[in-house]
Order: sequence, then C-alpha cells, then structure tokens
Amino acid sequence: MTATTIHPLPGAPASLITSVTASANRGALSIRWIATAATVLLTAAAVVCVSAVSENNARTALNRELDSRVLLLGRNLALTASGALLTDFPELTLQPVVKDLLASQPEVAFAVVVDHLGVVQGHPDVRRLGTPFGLPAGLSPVREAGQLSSEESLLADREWLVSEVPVREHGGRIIGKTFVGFRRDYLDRTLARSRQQQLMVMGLFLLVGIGAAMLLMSMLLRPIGILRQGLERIGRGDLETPIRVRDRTELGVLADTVNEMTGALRRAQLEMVERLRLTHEVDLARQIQQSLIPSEPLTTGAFTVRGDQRPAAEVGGDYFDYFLLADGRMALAVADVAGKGLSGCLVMSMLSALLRAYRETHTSPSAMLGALDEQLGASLRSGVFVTMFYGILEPRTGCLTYACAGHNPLLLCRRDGGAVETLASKGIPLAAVRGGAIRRTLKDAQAMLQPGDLVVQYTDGYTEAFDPAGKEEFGMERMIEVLRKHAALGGDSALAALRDALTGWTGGKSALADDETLLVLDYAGAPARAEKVTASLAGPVDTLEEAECRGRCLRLPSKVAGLPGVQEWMTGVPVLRDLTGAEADWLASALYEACANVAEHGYADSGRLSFELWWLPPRAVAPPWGASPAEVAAAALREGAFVLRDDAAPFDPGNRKESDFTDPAVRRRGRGIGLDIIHRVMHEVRYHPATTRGNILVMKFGPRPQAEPGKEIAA
Amino acid sequence: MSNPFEVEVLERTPDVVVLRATGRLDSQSAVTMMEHCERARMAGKHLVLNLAGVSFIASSGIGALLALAEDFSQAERSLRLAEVPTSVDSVLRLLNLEQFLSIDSTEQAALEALEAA
Repeated sequence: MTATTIHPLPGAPASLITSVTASANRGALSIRWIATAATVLLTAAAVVCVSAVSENNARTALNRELDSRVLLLGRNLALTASGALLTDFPELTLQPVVKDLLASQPEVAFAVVVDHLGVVQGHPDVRRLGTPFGLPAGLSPVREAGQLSSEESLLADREWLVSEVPVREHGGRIIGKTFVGFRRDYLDRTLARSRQQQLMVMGLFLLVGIGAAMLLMSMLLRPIGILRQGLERIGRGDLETPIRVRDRTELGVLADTVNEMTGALRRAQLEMVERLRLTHEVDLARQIQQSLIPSEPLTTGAFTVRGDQRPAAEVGGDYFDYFLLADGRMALAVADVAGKGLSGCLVMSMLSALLRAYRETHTSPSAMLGALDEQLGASLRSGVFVTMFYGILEPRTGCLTYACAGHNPLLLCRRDGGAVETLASKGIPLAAVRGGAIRRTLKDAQAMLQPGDLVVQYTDGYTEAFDPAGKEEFGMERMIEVLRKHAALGGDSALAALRDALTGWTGGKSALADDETLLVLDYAGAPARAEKVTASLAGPVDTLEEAECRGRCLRLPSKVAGLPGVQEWMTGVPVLRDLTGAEADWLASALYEACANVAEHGYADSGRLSFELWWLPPRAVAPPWGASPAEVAAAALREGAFVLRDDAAPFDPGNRKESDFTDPAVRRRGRGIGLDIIHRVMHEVRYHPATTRGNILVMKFGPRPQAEPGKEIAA
Repeated sequence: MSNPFEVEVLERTPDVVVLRATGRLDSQSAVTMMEHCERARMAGKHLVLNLAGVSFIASSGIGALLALAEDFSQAERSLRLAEVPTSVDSVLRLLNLEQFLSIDSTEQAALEALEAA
C-alpha cells in the first residue's frame, strides 16, 4: 500500500500538522535497562532479606541445639564420671575420657570434671589435674535454657556457653561436677561459612537473572520500537500505513487501538476537509444567490418595489426579482425552490436566467409561468419543483396582473380601513407535473391598485418560521396583523415591521432554517387614470391594459376555422350571455367579422399564431328601474368596450363609405359586407395600428339597423 | 358549434332544384354553396335555398346570397330563400337586405311561389 499524506486545505487548523521532532530530539531512557536494573535490585533485596531472616532463624535454632548439646555432653560426662570419682584415682579414668571427648567433638572448647571440693579430676591437660577449677569470669545463667535438672545450670556470656552438671553417686549425693564449654565463635564461623555459600549461589542466580531479564525485556519491548516508528509516521501525516505488531500482549492490543485511532482520525480529517470544501462552495453559492437578486428598490411612476432576503444557514432556494419591461411595465417575481443546498441554488440560477430571457416574450404572467414550467420540467429531475409568483404591473393604471404556480397568496393592504386582502390564484408548482399540465391550472388574475395600497409577496420562510420552542409557526394571520398596523406607513416601514416581528417570533435565531424572503410593492402616487379610460377610450393601450386587468379574454387562433369560438365564448361571459334576440345575433356577427378580418387579412389564415379579443365591462351601470336582465345587459354593453389585439402586420383601413345595397353592382360584388356589419352593430369603432402592444381595435356596442348610405365607416 | 357545412340537393320538379344547407355559412362554406347554386343556374333551373340548418352566417355568406340573387335574376331564373333561421334573418335585416332577397317561410311556400310565377 502506498502511504499517502493528506495535505490540509488552506485555513485548516494548525493542530492537524503534528510535530514529532520534539520527542525525537529528547534523550530517552531505555525501558529495557530500567526494567533489568529494577529486576536485579528487587531480586538482590529479596535474597538479602530472605538470607537475613534465614540466618536469624538458623542462629536461633543452632543456639538451642548448642544449649541442648552442651548440656547433653555435660550429663554424659557426669554419668561417666560418677563411677570414676568413687575410685581412688579418678584422674586416671577421667583424663582419657575428657581427652577423647575433645578430640571427637572439636567444637567443645573444654571439658572438666571436678570433685565435690572443686579440684580438677578430669582434664585433657594433666598439669591441671589436682588444681582448683575456675570458670571464666562474667558468665551468667541462660534464662531460656531447656529443662534443667536440679543443680544443673547453663551459663553463657558473649564468648562462652558452659554447662554445669552435678555428678551423683548411686544414692544421689553430689560427688562432683562436670563443666563442658563451647566457644560461641564456633557458631559464628559455621554461620559465616553458610552465608558465604549462600552469597555465591545468589550471585550466580543474579547473573543468570540479569541475562534472562535482559532477554525477556528485549522480546517483550520490541513492539514499542515499532509503535514509536508508527506514531512518528502518523505525526508526519501518514494516516494510511498501519502499525503491524504481531504481539499477543497488551502492546499488540495497543497497536490495534492506535490503528483504529488512526483510521478514525483519517475519516475525521477527510470529513473535515470535505466540510471545509462544502463550506467554501456554499459561500460561493450564497454569493451567486445574492448577486441574482436585486439589491436596490425599483421605482416607476408612483410605484416602488423593494425586496428583502435573509439567507438560511444552509443555502436556500428562495428567489425574488423585479425589473422594468421594455414597454414600461414592471415585472415582479418571487419563487421558492423545493430543496436547499447547491441544487436549490442552481435551480434558482436557472430560473433567474429563464425569467430574464423570456421577460419580453411572454407578456402574460400565466404564459410566462407556463414557459418556465416547460423549460424547468425538461431540466429538473423528478421531485424537484418550484413554487412561483409572477406579476406584471401597469404603472399607468395601477393594474397588477399576476399568476401563481403553487405559491403563497398575495397580500393586498388597502389604504382605506387597513383591510388586508389575501389574493390566491390557482396553479400547480413549476416542474411538478410534466407535459404542460400546468397550463390548464394557471390563470391570470388582476388586482386594481389604488394610491396608498401595499402589495406583499413572500416565501414560506415567513409563514412557516417556528417559535423558539419549535411548536408554532408565525403564520399568515400574524403577517396580516403586522401589515394592518404598519401598511399605512409605507413599504419601508411595513418591510421593517415584518422583519422585526419575525425576528421577535423566532427569538432572533442567527442560523435560519429557511430563507426569509419578502417583496413589498408600494403605491404612493396620485390616482391612476384608469377610471377615465373606459369612458373616453383615450388611449388604446390604456384600454387594453384595463381590459387585461378586469376584462374577459378570448384567445383565438389565426384562422377562420377557429372563429366559431367567439359565439361559444359569449355564452360564458356575463352581460354578453344575457343579451337576447336580434341584438345577440348582431353582436355575434360583428365580433365574428372583426375577428375574421384579423385572421384572414392580418394573418392570412395561417393558424400558427393567435390574437386576443377582450370584453371590458363598464365600471358601473345604471339601468332603468325594473329593467330586465337583457335590458341591463344591453345597457352594460353600451358602456363597455370590445378590444381586439393582434400582432399582425398593420394595415391602413383608408376611407370607405357604407355600402349602398340599392346598387345592383354592389350586391353582385358581394364584398366588404363585414365592415358594414361591424359599423351597424358598433357605434364606435377605432383602429389603432402598430401601438406598443400591437394593433388594437376598440369597439363599443350600439346597433344601428338603419342604412346610412354614404356614411364613412372605416376612418 | 363548428358543425361542417353540408348541402343536400333535391330535384323537386324538372325546373326547380331545392338545396338544403346545413352548418355555418362563412367564407369557406360560401364557396361550396355557390358552386351548387351555380350548377342549378347553369342548368337553367330555379332554385329554392332552404337555410333551416344554417346556424350562423358570415358577411361572405351574405355576399354570396346577394351575388347569387343578382346572377339568377340576370339569367331570368328565380332564387328563393326558405325557412331562414332567426339568426340569419336578424343579420339580413340589420343590413336591410331582405328587400333584395325573396324569402319564404317554408320550402313548400317557396315552391308554390315559383309555380305561381
């Protein structure tokens, strides 16, 4: 196996780089020598102690033995001397006996027999015979002598041990005494010889023991060297090479433990390196995320939009954006990618790029969300989806058109009375279901904003933020309550109040569980022109945008075969469906003719594109008292407007007079009747080619079933 | 709503052809109708055009009717419209065109009018 060294990333703690030079430089004492010296010393001490105790015991035993023996020799001599002392020349008998005794017992220093007068009768030296006998001075009786008979005594000093035994005749009368004496140095000499032998044996054993201890220690302590080398390798950063010790002692277990520790250290180091790498990537992702969202408020007309995002501890997938479209409208977007981390950040980046790429292509929010769904659905893996709000504000009218793909409801704070409306819109999340199913669920909705109104959009980081106990969410009701109190103070105050309220609710946690994203649109300007638009038809684009806000739309394909949809659409639109009789037929005919003109002449019946027909109802109608629904509908129709918008090549209608059907040639030609129908049914018809929103035809219902030959109808 | 336009041709008498039109009479179906009508005119026959099945008439359909009426008149043949539905009649009246077209309430009435002429 090749040893690999893990190089820590820049910024890794210095403690990871272990230095081993200190231990290598310091002089180390050899355990082998220490153990051997300790063994020798302990063995020697043990031997000395044992010898001392043993010698002491031996000396005690020998003393007792000597006491008994000197007494026994005295008694034996007394028995021998009892007969001899009764003879006339006891010395002749006793002198050889004493001499033999001394010869046979070399440890006996002297043996003497005296008569009852204390005169020496038996002595190895014949010159002492007949002389008085005196014991060495300083002798004293031995206290712990054995069982002494009457008149017997055992005397001793530091040099001598002497027995004094009476010699008795048969009648028991004492006729003399025997004295047998031992020198104590005999005992010391004997013990010294024994000690010397012991020391020799002990020395021999010690030498053998030292060798054996050295050998044993060498064998036992060899793994320590291997361990030391292994630990030095680990210290140098080599965590791959294991320490190989085939030892069944604790050192083998220690090596295994070190190997396990090294493995754990390696894993921990890899995890830490990975963590550092991830942290670095997360920091990058967060920078990218922050760079994608606007950092400054955006103002157009009387509207100001501002966003705020507090990123979660982990990179989240929240996104918000706002920008101006080429025609002056303002686009607003808030999205929440399901899933956090780098994947969420990447999806968010993709979303941002798509949104900006499509910003001018899809002018309807639902169309924009549909297009985003198509692209994201093709790119994202199953299970990843995005909830999104997208709105387009017309600052001249205050009309906000929006659509929601599974996102939170919009909060609209009205200036009057502090009412907060929750504006929900249907729609499944982007990329949740493949195959464009979202287009069937999305629907554009409109809200007419008034000066002082405030619009708030947000992500679930707000509504689903938990209190410190983790039991209750912040919830929409609390958001509404905060807005009710602070909306009147403007967008900045409302935004700050919401942030403060949420921080207070969560206890000011520094590491958020989810991104907290907020978008606040503030309408601070003068009343919009919207109220004047319908009445005067002053501007075709204004009328169209108001129709987009609160009108009913029919999108038609650019071919005649698709135009029957006009009648079908009319049956579903209030007011139009209430119209009855000839007026209903006329309206259907006029709308058909207007649409047929666009399909046939504008788009050459191609069928590849589409155009829109809008019914813009009046803001208020005052029908006569007791009017029937048809009459109410007719009254409403005269106040409302039809708007036809297309992107076909504009044409010049020129000046054309109403057809004079009394002329047979006109009847035979049979053309241009469509315009006649339109102008007979609509009392006002205005064509505005090539506006910023394409060609716009605005018509107001007002049938005129009387011919007015010569009337100009296409100006 | 977008039921296909169909024309049923009936030879009721040697001089009269009855056409029963069904569906929407717009710029595309008007061509079909005119072809059938022209065939009758070219054959020198009178024509009864039963419009009972027409659900909607566009300006091109109206133009076709006006042109056919003029063509038949010039050929000294009659074109009579029968059983004109309300939705078609409303548009014709909007343009005051009923004065230029011969309209009968029923197909039989149209045939009788032709016989009487």
